[in-house]
Amino acid sequence: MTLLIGSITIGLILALLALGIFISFRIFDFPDITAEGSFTFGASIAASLIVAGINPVAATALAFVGGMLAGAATGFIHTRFKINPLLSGILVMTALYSVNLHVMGKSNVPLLSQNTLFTWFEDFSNNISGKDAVVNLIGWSVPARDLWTLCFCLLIIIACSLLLFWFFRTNIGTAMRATGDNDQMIRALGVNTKVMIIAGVALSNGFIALSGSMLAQFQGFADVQMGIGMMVWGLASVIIGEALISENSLGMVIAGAVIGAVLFRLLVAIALRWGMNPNDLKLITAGFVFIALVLPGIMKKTKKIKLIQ
Amino acid sequence: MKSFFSGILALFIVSAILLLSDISNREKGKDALRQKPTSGTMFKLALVHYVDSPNSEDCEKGIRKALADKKLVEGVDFSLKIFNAQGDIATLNSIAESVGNETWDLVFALSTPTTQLFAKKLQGAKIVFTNVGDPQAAGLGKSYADHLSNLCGISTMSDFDGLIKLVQTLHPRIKCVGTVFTPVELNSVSFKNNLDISAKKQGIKLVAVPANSATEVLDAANSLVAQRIEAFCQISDNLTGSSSAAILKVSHDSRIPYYSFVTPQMKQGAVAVCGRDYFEAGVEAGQMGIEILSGTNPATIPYRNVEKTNYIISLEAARFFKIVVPDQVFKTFPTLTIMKPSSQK
Repeated sequence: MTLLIGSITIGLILALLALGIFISFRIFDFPDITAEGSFTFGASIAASLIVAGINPVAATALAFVGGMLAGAATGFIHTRFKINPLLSGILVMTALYSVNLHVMGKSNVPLLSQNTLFTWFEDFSNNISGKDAVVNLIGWSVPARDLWTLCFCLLIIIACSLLLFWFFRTNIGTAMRATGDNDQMIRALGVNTKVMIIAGVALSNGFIALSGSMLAQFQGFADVQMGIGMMVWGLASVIIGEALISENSLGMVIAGAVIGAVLFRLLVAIALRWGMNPNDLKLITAGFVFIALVLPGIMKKTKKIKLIQ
Repeated sequence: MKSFFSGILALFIVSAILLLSDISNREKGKDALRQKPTSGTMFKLALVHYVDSPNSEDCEKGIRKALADKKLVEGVDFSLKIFNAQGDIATLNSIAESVGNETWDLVFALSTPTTQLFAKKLQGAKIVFTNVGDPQAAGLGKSYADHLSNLCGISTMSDFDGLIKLVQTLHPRIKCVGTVFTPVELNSVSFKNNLDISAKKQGIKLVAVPANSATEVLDAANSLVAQRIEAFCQISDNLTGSSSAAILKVSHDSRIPYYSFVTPQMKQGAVAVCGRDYFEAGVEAGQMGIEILSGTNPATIPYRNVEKTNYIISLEAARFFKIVVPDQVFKTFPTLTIMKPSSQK
């Protein structure tokens, strides 16, 4: 049960990453690989500020802002200098590698004895449920602080999703979505699509950096190599979510990205729990993603066949 | 809305599968980690790699050797479950949850990120780390003696003074040595700084060139040659460890002798090494683990550097680089051994 709760918590933290990837890849149709840099960027900003004694909430918020700046840089390079989106992302991601080293001053910042968002959640749990309290959940005993941490992460992700849902229905948000869907049409209506792309990629990387800063606080350190492979996982989560939830309305797609991210972590946890050969782990996760993508299509087909018969 | 519930349903199904596969842990929970497991006399051990690297693999071999030396047989006296995050931080977090979910007699954490994460997440389990270059810089304790109560281990800090002294004995007039280092590896930067301090003490200048990927290592080594170093004193980290062949090739092409801290590099053509290597680190971490399994409290064991240092020289490589090996070197380093030429590649 602790495994389940822990995996869902990690899944929720990485769901923020999935939301960010969803904005750039799905709303703007902008293949943005700044993600691997901005994820670490958020982590390194939050970690260095927390070590410097800044309030964790402020540090996390600044990480979000830092991510937005990184994204804005990618958007600016793409729109102003007409550089291919992929290459703009590569440029900023590569540059961020050095920036991250400068921000942290070294390659790894430990947060073991620092106050972070997550130590706050633990303190909160200690105050409410008592120190080291254990809750019995259908036969499994679970530390109360793990449950509280999960609740807080759930709250944060719900708040972020609702905020995004609200934002993309405002005038600016609608113009952004239209930029991704049909930029000629929206330009004819007098919207500056370049500004929309810059703002959109900035917002996307803000969420990615937020996810990085939360993960750093959750695991107790920021490492300059922690962004490696993140974009692939985020994209996989978004696509799994889409495969599961086939509706195209905005709210459903956002929910799909979050569900996809959590589902993906659960699948990895199952692969680990079953004790497979550690060298096969990535092969197995790739297999899982494949099944998750193919299964909904097969299920639909079998339904249709039944209907015809 | 219907498809939203099908998504939620999928989450529930997968959660149920996870819970079913975890049914054996029911009613134990995290508290069980603090108690001694009741499963007979077989020790239940876990070993976690962060990334596939020769250093990490050597540590694992060393740990296995330490267990075998104590006549402990896998499957009879202990079970050893290996995890490997394959370089992915999200997977490492999932592994921490998975390991934290079960009861272990001892957990071996290889590499700095693994140890940092486990120190935070596995507060109930006993952990022995190695393949960590600088535990203090990694935030694992205020000093080697003052550290977390459930954690102890072997630091793989190299013997910088020893190598510099060896190089100086072989090249009395040396003024400038060089190394490739990896800015993104905490250990590498720490090692480079320590080597710089040791070199400065002897009046030798250290030129360090950064490399961030395997392809950059060759360029970095060539850049060192261009800066007229007189010898390579290569520090040990994951990146240069796995691409040492590139640096050695540059060394042989430019006839600039290569010294390092990693024993297996003798076979690739290094002149001499001062090896506190990862295999030894693994052996000593294994011995520390056995000490804890037999009842010692990890809080009372201070962190320490690898104790055993191997000084090895290859006369064949020395001849290749036209180095005259003085007899004095064997007096200064009584443990210096000569590598048999037959094992040279």
